[in-house]
Amino acid sequence: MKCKNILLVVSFLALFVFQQVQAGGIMPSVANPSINSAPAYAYLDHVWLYVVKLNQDGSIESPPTLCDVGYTDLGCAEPGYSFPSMNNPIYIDVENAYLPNVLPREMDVQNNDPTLPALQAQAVAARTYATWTALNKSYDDPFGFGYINQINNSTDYQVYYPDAYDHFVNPNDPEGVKQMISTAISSTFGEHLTFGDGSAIDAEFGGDIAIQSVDEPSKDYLNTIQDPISTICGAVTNYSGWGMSQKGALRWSKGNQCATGGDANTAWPVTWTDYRQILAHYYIGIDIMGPSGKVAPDDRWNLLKHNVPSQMTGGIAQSVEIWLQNTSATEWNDARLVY
Amino acid sequence: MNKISKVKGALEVLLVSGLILVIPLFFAIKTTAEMQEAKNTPMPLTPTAMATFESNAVTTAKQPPACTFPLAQITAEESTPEEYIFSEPQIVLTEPDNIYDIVEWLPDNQQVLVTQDLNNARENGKPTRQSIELYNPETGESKIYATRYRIEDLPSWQPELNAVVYPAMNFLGFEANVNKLKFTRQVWVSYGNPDTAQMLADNLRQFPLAVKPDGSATLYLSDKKIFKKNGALKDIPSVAFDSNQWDYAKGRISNIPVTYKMAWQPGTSLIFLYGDGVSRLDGYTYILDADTGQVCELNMGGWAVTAHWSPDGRYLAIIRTHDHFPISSSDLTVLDTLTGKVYIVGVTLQIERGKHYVDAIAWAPDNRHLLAIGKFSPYANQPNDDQSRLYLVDLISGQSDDILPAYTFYAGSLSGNFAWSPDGSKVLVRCPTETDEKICFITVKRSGQ
Repeated sequence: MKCKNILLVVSFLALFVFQQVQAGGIMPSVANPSINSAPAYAYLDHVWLYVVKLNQDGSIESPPTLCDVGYTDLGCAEPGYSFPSMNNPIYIDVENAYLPNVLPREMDVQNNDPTLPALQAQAVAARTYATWTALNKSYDDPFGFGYINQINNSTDYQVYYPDAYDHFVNPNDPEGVKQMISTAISSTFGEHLTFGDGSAIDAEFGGDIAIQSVDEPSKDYLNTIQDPISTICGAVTNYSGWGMSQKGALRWSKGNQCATGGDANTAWPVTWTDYRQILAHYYIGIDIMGPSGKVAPDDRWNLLKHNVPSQMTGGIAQSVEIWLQNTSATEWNDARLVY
Repeated sequence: MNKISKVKGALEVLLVSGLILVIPLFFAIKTTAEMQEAKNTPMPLTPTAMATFESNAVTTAKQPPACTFPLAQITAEESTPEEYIFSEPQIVLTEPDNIYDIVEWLPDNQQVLVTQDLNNARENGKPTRQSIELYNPETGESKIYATRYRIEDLPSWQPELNAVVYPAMNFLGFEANVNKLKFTRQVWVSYGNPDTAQMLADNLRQFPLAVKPDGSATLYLSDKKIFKKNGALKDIPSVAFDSNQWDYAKGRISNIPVTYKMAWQPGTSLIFLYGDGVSRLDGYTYILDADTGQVCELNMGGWAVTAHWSPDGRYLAIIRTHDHFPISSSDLTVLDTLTGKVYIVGVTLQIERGKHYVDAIAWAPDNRHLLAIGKFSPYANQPNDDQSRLYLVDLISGQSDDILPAYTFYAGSLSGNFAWSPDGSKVLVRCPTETDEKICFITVKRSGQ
């Protein structure tokens, strides 16, 4: 348990908040940033992937049918194309073949103009979820082939469409968004979320939540968090409500309560330009592990909301309200904010 | 003043003028950049691709006018609402390898048009084959009318000829480098012998076709025309129709032409023309006049997964959704084409927290009730938590009754899960397990009988 001196000077805070708003993208820290000893680095870089015919809600057709050469069904291929692989299940490279075809559908890049931080957060969450489900969700094996580390392409796991990277593209900027997806994956190479003993967490995520996430009582990192940016502009809880909201990630990364862009536009006073802020917000007390160790400090906080005036005279101090979230790996007992 | 001095003076004037212009410009750019940074929002992406897309697609397409009501002059008499009593389902067919689609009951109320995927007869490097059969659930007899490479588009019964008209894929091979099939789209007719089936058309723009419910016409689309055949499958004059003209959706980016499914309104020349908005971005809901080629747009508040006209042609029922794949909800939406009134029914008990779907619908002969498979999928569910039940829906009251609560049926979100006989006395419904395909048969007692 950490013990730190309290030094909360409102004017300093206001200045800091102002600096945050101006500069953006800084992972704020509490006191002297510290990193506890890193747990083991363990995630699956290859998994067995069953690609099966899907229903329109993303569930598996019953009885299950493996996609095969020539199949054009939902889940087997993007519209106008056919299932590309001679093998099924596929022993798939998570970084280079799985994630590039998960991110476009999971973030619905055709309908939501994505941002790099939101895609990076999704890449880390999807990478983590692939490992967790492959190791912990074996009850769902539809074929009983007995492979370890197996997943499928349905919403029981994560939606995977063969060649989605090439064919499920954004109408406003097809090549730009594809490049953004590539960057999101490569810039977070190997990064995944852990908790406690260093195991990959059940990094649940879904389309949208309203006001707050939903508590998953058996997992501390999936406790309820407030999501004040997700209150209007069609915000609705449309999945279990556990973990990261994909539209919430878009909202925070755009600094806008409307996730999809377009005509809808309701500016929010805070923008997160660092994907780690998004992940630390939705998953409580987690570590973000990369190949070289932790990529986020243990001591950290997120600015959720403030009322700093849009104009302030130089040298003038003013009392403001800010709304902070402790996103540290531990609770604060005696916090001192440093910037 | 010498020449050099004059040039020097001119340069000085130019320099000063330039500075006067450049300095404010510099600050204007700087201020804009600072404002942008202060807002802490990313710079907008340059929409060059959008401009290209617009010039190729959007400018050539337009939105049809809104439909007006009544849609057509039909003689729909007020139906007497009936009561229906359903028997326990009886498994009449179990198949370990192949999956069925239940297409429609024939007018004899004895046989059902079905398709069967022949997964157990696959040829290497070729798509799966599929048989088109007439199946009698009470005798267990089935007769194969035709086989084709498996496609999702369903065959139709042609009651005037006692024949099956069906779309087919003329498979030519694979374009391996782009994972595309090479094929042409054809229409065939079979009178009962697969070996003597006849091709009616080739090189069509899409697979779906429409058969008028009384069998007096069959219709399919090319790029620029509506092709029609009469009840004897003889050509009747085609009508100009540019399907791309109405493909106006701004978000659509695929260069693949939109595919329209079709449902023919009984007793009229009108066809409900609808594009799949789930896997693509072109969820259109149009009415096409097959005689004139004119198109109008219905506002159904979403797009249609599947559509069925009531037997008297007054009501158009669709499974409606607002989502793209994977959809998080769907409902039953019914349009009264005489008044334009829209009925929306959730089918499953909506107060429960989770995802609610309607996955298959069929009309009762009284034009007031529908059978529907409703699916409730609780949030954070395990797969076995899904509840797919058979509901009887009263269109006017909006009441939805779980008629066989002890049984789970298949909810696949696609057509082909069940059919209700024209006389209302029988239901055939898929009831697969996780390992086997199964077909269940239900008998129905009507209050009018």
